[in-house]
Order: sequence, then structure tokens, then C-alpha cells
Amino acid sequence: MRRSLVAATAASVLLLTAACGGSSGESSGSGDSTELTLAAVTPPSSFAVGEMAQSGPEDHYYQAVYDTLLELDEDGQPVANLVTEWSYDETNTRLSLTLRDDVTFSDGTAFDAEAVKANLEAAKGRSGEAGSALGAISSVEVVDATHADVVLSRPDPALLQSLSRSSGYVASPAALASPDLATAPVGSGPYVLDADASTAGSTYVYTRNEDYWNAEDFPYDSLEIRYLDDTTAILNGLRSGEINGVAGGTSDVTTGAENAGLTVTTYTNGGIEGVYLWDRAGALVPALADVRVRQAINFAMDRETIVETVKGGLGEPTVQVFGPNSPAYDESLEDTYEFDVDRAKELMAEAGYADGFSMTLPDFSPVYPDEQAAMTEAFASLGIEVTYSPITGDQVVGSIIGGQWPANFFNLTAGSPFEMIGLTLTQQSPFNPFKNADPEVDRLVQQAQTTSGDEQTAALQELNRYLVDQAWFAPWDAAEGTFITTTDVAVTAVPGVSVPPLTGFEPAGS
Amino acid sequence: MLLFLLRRLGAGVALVWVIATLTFFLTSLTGSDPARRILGPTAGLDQVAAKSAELGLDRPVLERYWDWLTGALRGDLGTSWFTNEQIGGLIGDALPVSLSLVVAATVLTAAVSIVLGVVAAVRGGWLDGLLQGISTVAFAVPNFLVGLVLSLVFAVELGLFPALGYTAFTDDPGAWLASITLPAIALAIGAIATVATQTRGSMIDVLQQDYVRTLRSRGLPTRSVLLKHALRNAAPASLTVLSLQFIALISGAVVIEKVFGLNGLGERATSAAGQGDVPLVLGIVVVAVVVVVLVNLLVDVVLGWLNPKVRIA
Repeated sequence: MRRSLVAATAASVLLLTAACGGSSGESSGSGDSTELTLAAVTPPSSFAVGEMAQSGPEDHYYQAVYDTLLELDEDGQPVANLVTEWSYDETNTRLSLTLRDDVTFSDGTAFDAEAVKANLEAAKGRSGEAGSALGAISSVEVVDATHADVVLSRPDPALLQSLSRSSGYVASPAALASPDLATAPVGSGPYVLDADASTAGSTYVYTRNEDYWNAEDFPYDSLEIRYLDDTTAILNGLRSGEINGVAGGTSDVTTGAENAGLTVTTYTNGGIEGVYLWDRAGALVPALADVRVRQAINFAMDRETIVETVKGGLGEPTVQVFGPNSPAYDESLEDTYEFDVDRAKELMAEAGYADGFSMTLPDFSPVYPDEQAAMTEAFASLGIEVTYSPITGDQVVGSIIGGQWPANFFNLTAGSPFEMIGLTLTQQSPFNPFKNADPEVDRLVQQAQTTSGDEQTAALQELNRYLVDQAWFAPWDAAEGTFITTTDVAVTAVPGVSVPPLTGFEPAGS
Repeated sequence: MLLFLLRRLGAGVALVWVIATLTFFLTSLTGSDPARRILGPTAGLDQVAAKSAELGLDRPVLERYWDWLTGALRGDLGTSWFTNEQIGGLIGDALPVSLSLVVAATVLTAAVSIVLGVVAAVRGGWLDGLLQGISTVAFAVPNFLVGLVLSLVFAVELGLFPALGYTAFTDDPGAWLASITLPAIALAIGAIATVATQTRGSMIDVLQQDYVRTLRSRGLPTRSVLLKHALRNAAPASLTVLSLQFIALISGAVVIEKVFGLNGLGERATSAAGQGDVPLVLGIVVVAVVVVVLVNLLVDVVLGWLNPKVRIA
């Protein structure tokens, strides 16, 4: 019993001690402008080049240690980084690169054309989105130490965008073959991962790369990224100043952050939300093969109200699958499908579906209850009866790609019009599950891929007009992302990417 | 005593095997698609198939089970499908977080509940009623709610404790204590109510025994009668409840770790289960069951020390 009493006394003393000295446990990040602490809602999947997503909430883990060949400017356009100059040949199948000559990796290896060749070839063989985006590369030819030619099997207008994102990460060639690269990155980036201070899968601590060639773009001396997936914990961390920034997620989080006096930065993140009409040939639902039915569905969508009520205002209503920052975007198309249920019913009647029809869609209500309710209401206004079929979260994408559903609510994110084309319009596109073919679409895609400049822009806009006219999709809005920061941190976002790049963070007022 | 321990140990090993096996087959037969989750929505079907093969998911489930089991017996729990980290390392990082939290909550529970239970039993009257009322409320309030309030008041508003994260004891003992204080209190509230009520009841029973009256009539000091004789006899029941509470605290820690951003076993288990990271889920289940078995064994030993009749049973 004496031991119990001793334990009780000790615990009480310890608790009092903790209460008095609790502030010592406050995080390093707050209040010191040379340290930045970010939260990410997912841990890093792999630091091996080619294995990561094209763009996602985990970008900061990688951007800290890797430079990209190109980078995106504030308008989302590729600009120089490790590559200082670039040009295509007249067939758009040979991309000539000029490289910096003053960059070394953290293991001392020099960055040169051989490193570019080794990285692009290694990444291309990997299975992640970053690797898949390099599929058009057939080889890389080293001209000299600072010049390399990327040879393509076909024109790939999205390649420069990809090289500005995760596909352009460059690791030390000496580390590329090592399986350790997945967890122990060796790059030339602004920071170096401090493995001793980090906890795998939880907290990643980075210290400044003292030899970094572009240090002025990264004002913080150290960076810590914490994996946190609980909204309450994230908001408490921001309010107490223990973390300085996190991607906003839902409108509820954003509202909570605004109420707490935190800074909320809003930007278009490349996502297009809405009803994607996959079964345009009518394999599962014959009615969807009729363009008038697809147009009717578009007329039945009250996009303004949906964005305001369902998305909490975080979105730009649109009828196009190419966002406002895309060269394919055409503002004049936004009037095409003004909300008009009467017009929608007329079109349904003309198509012979005055009484509507029925279809089975995946039940997303556990994740997107409001979106599903809005979609159901729109369909119901046309007499379209929807039966929802239960589905687990990790079966969603596979079932869509496998052609299980005629349509569904979805959010597709693309950094460039060519990425969206690759995702949805070609015979190889994963989100063209019924392999719908249209000679006009194929012609316009081909034209856009093989031209450049104004000619390319014109082709993209013509393609966009055709898709809107034919109602291939029923988009609602160009999604807006938010990034929440403490008031001592300023953020500059880049349109079309999931989270602002690390170059976009600086002490407020600096 | 040795035979007693061996029997318990054998049962524990069998329990670990049964639960690990059940977990393996339950997680393997859910029809989930981890390859798709890893590769993202834009990956083609052929890429997903290749990734599935890389993970070994194209092999028969029994073959995968055998590989996992033999690996686990060698101490190799495999690699996380999603972070490519060694499971042993991930659990090794998370286990001290959870154990710190649960042990601190248990110590807190033992200390506070015994004091409350004894005071309530001995003093009786309005104090007993008040303590019982508080216990009822504490038992009824969900611990995550307590955690939220504690975090908002003492971390966010007053800044006395960190709102997030865990500091290892070896790095900074003071910061370690600060990092687990609020989570431990939030976790312990319900357990304190339960164990205090049990202690109170046991003490009242014991204090009505003839030998206590005899001790008092012989003039032994009240403190000695209460603490040296009565409490020792009341302790086994409380200890049994406390051991059950320890196991309940391990599961309760899942939510508390989320609220306070502690990357312990619970946090990792929920993330891994959500992602379909089967190797990590299996590793955590095995370690959690081993901890529970060891705690039960320890409690049995202590109970045997307190009451020799338990050893015979």
C-alpha cells in the first residue's frame, strides 16, 4: 500500500510540475520566423522518384529534398529551375534541355546531364503517377554535361507541366538504384531530411541544405512536416501555433479556421467537380447516348446554388472540364447551360424520355452526402430515378474505370488541359471507361497535341466547345482549395496544384 | 507458481496466434484494392494489376498467410505497403507513445481512484454521495470530449501544455510529461470513476469484516487498520478492475491519440486500417495482443502474490 501512496504522490507532483512547466513542451515552430512547421493529411508514400502522386497533400515532403527540372510560376506555367532553357524540335518529339552547372546533391554527386538521364529513365519505370506521366519518353541522350535531349515516342504537350511537378524530381544518381531511396531521400533540394530527428510515418524534420543554389527562395532555416489526419488536432495545432500551415480540406475546416482568426488562402486547385457522364454510348443506360438527354442533365444542374450550399462557396461554377486557368477555357461557354429545368424537360421530351428513366449509381453518401443529395435532386427534377449501390471507398475508382457505372459525382484533377485529355478523352484514358470514340474529338485532340502557341490554344478551345456542346460531362465547378496558415506566415499558391509549393511560404510582412 | 506462469504464457501465445490469424484472413478477404489506393485514381488497370502482383496479392491467400506467419516468427513483420517503412520500425516508434499514454493514465487512475474510493468508504455521508455523483458524471462523459475541452482550455487558450505531438522521455523528460499529461487525464477520467467505485465497494465490505473490528478493538491506529490491513484485502478486486481498465485504456487511446495528434499505435492502426495497409494492421494487432497478454500475466502474478489461493485456482 505504501507503494500506492508513493505512486499517487509522485503522480500528483509530476502533474503539477507539468502544469507549471507546460510551456516547455510547446512546439519549436511557433513564433520563430526561421522555422516552419506544416501538417500534411497523409504521410509520404515513397521518396523514390517516379513513385509518388503527380500532385497531392504530400508534395511538401518531397519538395523539401528534391529540386524539379522545371518549376511552376504563379500562373501555373513552367519556368526555369534545374533546367535553364528548353526547346522542342519541329516534330515536338525531341526536347532539348540546358542544365545548371552549379548544383550538387546532398551526397556530393554533381548534377549533370547523366543525372537527368538516370532519373528520367528510372522514374519512367516506376508505377506511381509521377512515373506514368513520363510514358512518352523513349530515351534521353546526353549531349554534354549541361545539355541533354529527351526523345519522345509521340508529342506530349503535358510533359513540361509534368517536369515541373513530381515527375521532374531529381535524386542523386548514386542513390537511384538503392531500395533505401524510398525512405532516405538523397536530392539537391533546399533541405536535407534529418533522419535522427524524424519519426517515420509521423514527423519529418528537415534542416537547410547549406550548399543550396537557390536559398533565397526558401526563407526558413528548418522545416518540420507532421502527419496529422484529425481535423480537431489540426485546428488546435494551428490555434496554439504549434503548426503553421495545412491544406484546408473541407469548407467546415476552412470556416473553423476563419472563425479562429487564422489566415485562409484560396486558389483553384485543378479539380473539376460534378457529374461525369461516362456511358455516352448508352451501354448501360441507353438514354445517355442521346445528346439531348445529356444536355438536359446539364440544364438541370443549379451550379450556383450547389457551389454556395454544398461547397460552402469554395468553387467557381462552370460547365467546362477545363478550369479557368487553362488555355482551353472559354468564358463565353459558361452561358451554355444556365439552370433551366423547363428547357431540360423539353429536351427530355424531345429525346423520348418525358417520363424519365432509371439508372444505378455508386452510393457516395458516406463521403459526399451533400453532393449526392444535390445530384439526386437534379436527376429527380427530370424524372430520372436513381438507385444507389453500396460501395467501399477503395473500390470506387476501380469500379468507375471498369465501366460499372453510367455516371457519378466525381472530382478529377488535372494540371493541364492535356492531362485532362489524357484522363478522359482518348481510347487509353482511364476515365473513358466505355471507350467512347468520336472522330471530331480525336481530330481536335490530335490537332492540339501536334501544334503549339496560338494554334494549339485555338485547337484546345475548339475541342472544349465541342465537348460542352455534346455534353460529354455535366461539371459543376472548378474546385477551390484552401491553405490555412497562422498569421505570421504568408502563402502564395499556384493554380492547378493541390498545395502551394514550398517556395510560396515566407514570413508575413517580409 | 512456475507451472501457473507457464500455463498462462501458453494460453497467451495461443491467443496471439488465433487473433493474428483471424485478422489476417479478415483483412485479406475484404475485397479491398490497396494497389489502386497506392497508385491513385489515374493509374491504368494494367498498372494496378502490376502493383498488386508486386505486393504479392496475386498469390493464394494461404500462401501469403504462411509467408507472413513464418516471417513474424522470425521477427520480420514486413514492410508497410503505403510508406515503404519497416513495420517493426513503425511500431517501435509508436509503441512508446501509446505505452507512455496508457501507463500514465493507469498510474493516474490507480492513484486517484484509490484515494477517492477509500475516502468515500471511510468518510461516508455527503462526501461519499458527492464522490459517487462525480464518478457517475465522469463515467458518462466520453473521453474524447474531455480531451477536446482539456486541449482547448489548457493548450490552446492558456498555453500550459502542447496541443499536439509527443516528445520522447529520453529527449526531454519535462517535455515528455507535458506532452502526455492532458491525453492521460482525458483517457483516465472514465477509468478513475470505475475503479474508484469498485474500491469504495470493496473497502466498505472489508471494513465490515470481524477482523477489522478486532484490530480496532486492540487499539491499532486507524491509519494502520485502513492502509495496512483493510486496503490490502480490498485491493485484489480493485486490481482486477484496474487491469481490465488498462486493456480498455489501450483501445480508448485510439481516439485520444487522434485528438492530441499523438502518433501512437492507435493512430497508426486507424490510418492503416483506413488505407488497407494489411501488413501494418497485422503488426499492430500482434503487438497490441502481446501487450494485453503480458499485462494480464503481470496482473495474475500480482494477484497471486496478494492472494495465494489464486495460484491454486
